Amino acid sequence: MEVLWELFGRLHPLVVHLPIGFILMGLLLLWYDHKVQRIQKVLQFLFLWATASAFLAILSGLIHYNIEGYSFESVRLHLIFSILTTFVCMLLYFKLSINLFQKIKTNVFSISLLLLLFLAGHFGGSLTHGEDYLIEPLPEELKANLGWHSAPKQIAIDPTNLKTLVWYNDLINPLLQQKCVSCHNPKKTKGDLQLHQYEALLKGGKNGDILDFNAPEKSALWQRIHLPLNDKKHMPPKSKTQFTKAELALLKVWIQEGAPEETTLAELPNAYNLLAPFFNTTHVSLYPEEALPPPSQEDLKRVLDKKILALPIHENSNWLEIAAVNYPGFTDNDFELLMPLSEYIVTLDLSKTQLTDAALEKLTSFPNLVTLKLDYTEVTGLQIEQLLKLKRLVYLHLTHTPYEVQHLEKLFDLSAKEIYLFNSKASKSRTQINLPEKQKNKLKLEKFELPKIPSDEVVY
Amino acid sequence: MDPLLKLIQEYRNNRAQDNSRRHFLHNCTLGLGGIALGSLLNGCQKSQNGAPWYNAERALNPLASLPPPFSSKVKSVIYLHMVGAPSQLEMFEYKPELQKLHNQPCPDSLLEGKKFAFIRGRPTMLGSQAQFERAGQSGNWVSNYLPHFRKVIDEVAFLKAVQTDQFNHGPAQLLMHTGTPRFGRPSLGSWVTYGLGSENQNLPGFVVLSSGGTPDAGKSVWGSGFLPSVYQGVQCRSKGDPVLYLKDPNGVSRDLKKGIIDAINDINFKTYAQQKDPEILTRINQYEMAYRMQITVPEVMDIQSEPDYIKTLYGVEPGKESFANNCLLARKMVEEGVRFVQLYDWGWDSHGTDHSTAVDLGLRNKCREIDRPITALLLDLKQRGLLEETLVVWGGEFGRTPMQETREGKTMKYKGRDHHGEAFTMWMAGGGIKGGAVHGETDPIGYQSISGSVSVHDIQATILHLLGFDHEQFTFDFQGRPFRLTDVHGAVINEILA
Repeated sequence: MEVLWELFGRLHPLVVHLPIGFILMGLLLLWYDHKVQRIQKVLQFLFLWATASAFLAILSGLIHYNIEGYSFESVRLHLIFSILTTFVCMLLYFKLSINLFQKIKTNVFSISLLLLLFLAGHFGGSLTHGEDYLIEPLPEELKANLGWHSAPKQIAIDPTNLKTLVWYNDLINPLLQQKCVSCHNPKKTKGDLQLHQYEALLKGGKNGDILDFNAPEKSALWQRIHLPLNDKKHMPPKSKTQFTKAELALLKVWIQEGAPEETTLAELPNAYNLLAPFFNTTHVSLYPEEALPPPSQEDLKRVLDKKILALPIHENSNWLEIAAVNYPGFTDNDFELLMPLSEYIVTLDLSKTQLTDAALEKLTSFPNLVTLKLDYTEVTGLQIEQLLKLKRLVYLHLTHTPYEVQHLEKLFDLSAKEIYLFNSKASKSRTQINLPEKQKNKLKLEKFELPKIPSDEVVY
Repeated sequence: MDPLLKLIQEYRNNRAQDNSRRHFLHNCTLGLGGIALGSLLNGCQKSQNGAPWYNAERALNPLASLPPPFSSKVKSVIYLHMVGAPSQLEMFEYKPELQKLHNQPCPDSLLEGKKFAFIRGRPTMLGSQAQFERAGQSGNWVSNYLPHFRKVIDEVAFLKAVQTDQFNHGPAQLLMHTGTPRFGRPSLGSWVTYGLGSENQNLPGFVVLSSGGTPDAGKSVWGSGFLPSVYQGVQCRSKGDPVLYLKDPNGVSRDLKKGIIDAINDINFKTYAQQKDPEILTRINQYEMAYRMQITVPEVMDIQSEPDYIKTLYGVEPGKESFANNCLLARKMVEEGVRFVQLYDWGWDSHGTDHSTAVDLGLRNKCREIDRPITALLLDLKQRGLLEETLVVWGGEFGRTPMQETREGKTMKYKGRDHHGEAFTMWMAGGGIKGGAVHGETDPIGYQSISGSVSVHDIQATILHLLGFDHEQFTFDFQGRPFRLTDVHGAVINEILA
């Protein structure tokens, strides 16, 4: 029997559409007929059924509310407006059939009925689809201006102040808000469990406590999220967003630590590793943000025809990567080919080409270069100060070049962060090079060696 | 009326009907709509030809370079596979608890419900035969079997709890390299060359170098499966001719050979124009590639031309087939723009059946053979600025048990360990990798993972991620459905990414 009630309750979203249909149909015909009044019988018939089905809908709704664990707070408005709708619908039926309330115009009933119907329907929809269902697709700026803020989708942690983070407020609550609270809140309280605040967590649900401080891994909270995805008792339900590995790790440590509320993470030994996946990585891209229109096909074709490799850095980018790996005959004059594309090029690999110092001047018209590779070329560093104009340069490869010691200083002020000079003339020089401390990490002159050790020769 | 005239009249009527405006409007509305729709849909395409410009060359050259779908961290991969499964307990897993349990009988709780390849009866626990020390700024553990490796330990991110469900070499190797323990799927290197092509048109995009022997799973571990066969790994030998049959035969000049290849390709291309079978393109491309490789491959494969300090750094033995030679070759290849270099080193199956497979003897020799070359490879890539854009992966097909192997229930003469897939160690280094990181933890005897367990598919997903692919979207349609390397599994291991 219980099952049948539950089923009937669950049919509520279906049943409500009966009165909605009858009422709308009745109102349309009522207005259509208001002058001639030929189909009064039909109207009576429609509003009788509308009233009857509205009662049925309210009954199913009440049963649904009792069984599924919605809080009164959440259904209040829906309930009030539904009852009012039914009531006004009934009055309208009486007015049409036995001519009650002769002094009041029919339109007063019909218009208020329409309004009530919309309100009841709206609050019902908010229950099933969530309150922000209609607001969600609006543009973020509009929402902000109207003061409707949507909850952040991810925890974003600033890596610099890990020690001051508070367990519950800064980490666990946002996690539960994202993954659990939509079904476990004061409005919708599945399994009699609320997870919206710390006190509620301690209270537990229908099956008792969800946190076991003596045996953390036996906590229901812990076990439920670790059941196989297909298990009926797995939480969050299969169709909902699941916890990520990092989030699980965080929850686990929290429960192991005794599920504290106010404690900070100051004492936690491996806090950094644990929280690293949540770091607020507004990753600064090496490449410029501003978008350029796609490069011209003719310019590209001229480059490709020379067997110079030209590719976007990824499928949806217009930034270009150029490499002369299949065109070792590249000379300073070939720069003319690249000039029309110069703004697009972020990676330029001219290793093993015939490039000379004279060409460096032309590189000044490549403002967006991030990586420049001139390995195995004849660059001596004579014109290297030209690269000072490349504000975005990060990687500069000058290995196996006749780069001179006296031009090393010119590299100090380049924006490049990694300058490779392995096996260049400068790196092989006999004279002691004293780099300022700051430049030691930037200028990579080192030639690595692995000295022989006794165990190299031992055969077991 | 004359029947013939009647027929002519009927013909004229029909013609007139076809030419009438009414007929045109009546019968052709669908066609007109189609034309209109077609021109509307044209606007949805990326360019006039329907494909982005960088795809143009792919139509004729299956190895033409393509951009990655997403921004990438690395351009090349060097994958070092220790065939036979190296013992994590003698190399990277420091387990003092296991030492204390040495020679004690293994409790039932560790044996119940487990399947072993060779262990029968009740084995004893086998403590690590190596001494461990912390190394580098990260303070990660490494054993005295790898004394040089200490120098580069901060470049490396360890995965200490890799898991596989295969406990025999062949299937486990296939799983590691093709995403399934059975034959027929493309290997990791094939997927990558299919997706990104090859930058250097004179070299293959996917090169395989092996030392000591072929992996148990055979050449399928670098096969192209259902991808066009141009994407399969090209095996180069480090001894003798790098690629077999590449030399000009006696009495045949290069010009003559070029003439022959051009003629054959011409015929092949005509067949391709008719039948559109991608295997024909593969064949055309192989001929041309082989011709171009005749010059470049011997040059790249020649380690003699390297300076002495580089030869000493790697400890190469020119003229021999060795892992050290292969490591140096891998660096040379990556420097030349080869996309995927796969190294296999044979002889890591430390069962303890003889001297060479004992974890205190043979394994130590194997470790010595790789210690200097791998360290040298990482240092050499670093000094050349190549480590930023290269991913180096090290591992085996599974790990080894913390128990002494008891083959057929008998006590063995040498100290050895059985196959073990539940938790073993792999590492990655290079572009996009957080050097010094450790992900995953095993229990105090190194038997099972207690946290951070990752699967073989997770590793593949991570490698693809670093190359700029989403492993879930990178698919190839075959037999009516899309296939992907990671099947339906895999998640990127963010914990080791910088």
